[in-house]
Amino acid sequence: MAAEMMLQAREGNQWWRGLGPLLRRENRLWWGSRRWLVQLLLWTLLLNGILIGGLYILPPIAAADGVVMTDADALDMGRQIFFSMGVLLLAIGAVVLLQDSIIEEKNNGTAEWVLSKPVARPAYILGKLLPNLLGLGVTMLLVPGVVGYFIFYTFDATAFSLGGFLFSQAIVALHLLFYTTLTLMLGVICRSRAQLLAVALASLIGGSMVPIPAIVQFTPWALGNLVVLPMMGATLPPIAITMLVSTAVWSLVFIAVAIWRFKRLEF
Amino acid sequence: MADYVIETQGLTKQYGPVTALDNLSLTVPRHAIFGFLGPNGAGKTTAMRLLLGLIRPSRGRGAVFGHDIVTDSLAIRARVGYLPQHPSFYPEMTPRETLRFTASFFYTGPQQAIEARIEETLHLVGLLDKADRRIRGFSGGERQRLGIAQAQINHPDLLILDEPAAALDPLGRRDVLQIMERLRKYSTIFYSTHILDDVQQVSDRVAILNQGKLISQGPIDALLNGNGQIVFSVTLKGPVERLYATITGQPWVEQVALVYQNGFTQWEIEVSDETAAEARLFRLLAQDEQVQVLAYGRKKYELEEIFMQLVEGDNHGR
Repeated sequence: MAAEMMLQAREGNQWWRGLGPLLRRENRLWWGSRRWLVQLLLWTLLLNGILIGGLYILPPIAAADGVVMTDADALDMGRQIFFSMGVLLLAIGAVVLLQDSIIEEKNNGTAEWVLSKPVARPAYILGKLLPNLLGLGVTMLLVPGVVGYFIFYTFDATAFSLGGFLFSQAIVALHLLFYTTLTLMLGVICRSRAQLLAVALASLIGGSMVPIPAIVQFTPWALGNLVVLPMMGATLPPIAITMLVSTAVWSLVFIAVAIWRFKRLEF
Repeated sequence: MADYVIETQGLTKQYGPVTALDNLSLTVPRHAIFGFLGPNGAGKTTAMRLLLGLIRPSRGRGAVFGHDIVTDSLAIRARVGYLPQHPSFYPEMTPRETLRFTASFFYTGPQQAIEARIEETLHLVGLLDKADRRIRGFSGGERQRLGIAQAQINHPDLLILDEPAAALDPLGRRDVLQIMERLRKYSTIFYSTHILDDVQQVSDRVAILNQGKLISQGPIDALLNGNGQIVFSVTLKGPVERLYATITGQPWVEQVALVYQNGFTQWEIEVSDETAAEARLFRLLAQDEQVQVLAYGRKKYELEEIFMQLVEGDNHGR
């Protein structure tokens, strides 16, 4: 009874009310199960496996076929594989992993249950976004990135700078942020996974085919072509700045729209 | 508004052309066990969701503890425990973890105190032995018990229970009713159900909803006494023809209805003057020496009877 009296009611009507428990629950989904390990192994092995293939396995095979592939060619291929393919693969991974995050809870009644507690609706969205950004960041970017850096470094430490590598990784991260926030926003707006996947994958795959630079410059659709430039020590073209800033702005817009729309949803 | 835990005025919810709730004006006093009755699709769940801010009214207003249901919903939910009609929890959690998760929205304190509260709640709903099993494999009844547990983990001032006994077997239903009785000391309980026996057992006030409209509300005793009608129910044995003439000849007798005849005769005598009936009816019945009075009393309606009358009357009136 004395212990019971020590309980203190949480108070306040702030927009972040309920965020703490939601963050803990979502973080637990990542780090309290084998999910983090599975994702970490998947992306580390996939991205770095392809990288090792490009740097160490492909040149001897090419040589056996009579094609001369210098170390510089191999490094160039490795960079293209690691960053340009990485941009696409990680975004697909994020969309697939998060497609259910909100839609399933809306459809099965869990969201209704959670929102019947003193939980502010912006907190619900942030409770999804922040732990997933952390989980995706660590398992898709940080660990595979560190391993990738050491593979590049081992192959040819003089061919690139740490700054260039980090800048390229930052572009991958920004691209990942765009698709993470887009998927969460679509989770709020769409009723079914099929709708969500259609829109997200149309942007991801169809976007790169849009032939109108005036539009593309305000999207992340061409980042896959630019991402490798910092790693190569090349200067980004002026249009890249517009793309990077636009991608960041879009991500913020998606979060804002997700919160705004979620506040109006009925359960 | 503060005299009532719940007060709504003209609360209406429309989904396009469909009116799910129509002009609901309702008051729920403190510490009541308030039964919210109605056929399927009557608007009960809609009303509960409106009170919790899960949906927004199309018209009208409502307040819980004096807080507006649209603008001050967080303050309301901080004092309410809610059991949805089909409770759905995170399947990877155990009941203990679910209660820990739920509790963390409401209060902080020493872990030991929180765990003690969780233990007490699990015991209350009979889930102690399954406290550490994943919810994924739970039956409907077990989910319902957990639903009740999470709804009252914060010792709420108001419990809103949507069909709390629907998925339970008779023993489970009995347990739920006992839990509700126990909780009434601390909380007001506003619950929907279609199990009228349960309502009659535990509720002190009821509201009946049909096709989105409130058709009756008030203390259950008043409802069970009929719609202002004064009816006496008597069971007789023997030839009743002469007695029938005597009774129907009284100026304060409105009508005598024969409800049952199989060796016995059962009459329902509707009277216009309660005092005259109480003073004279039994004497009149007893004076016929060929007729024995086996049972005599003021008719008590069953809730089901009242419910059917009101709902069917309302349906015919539309």
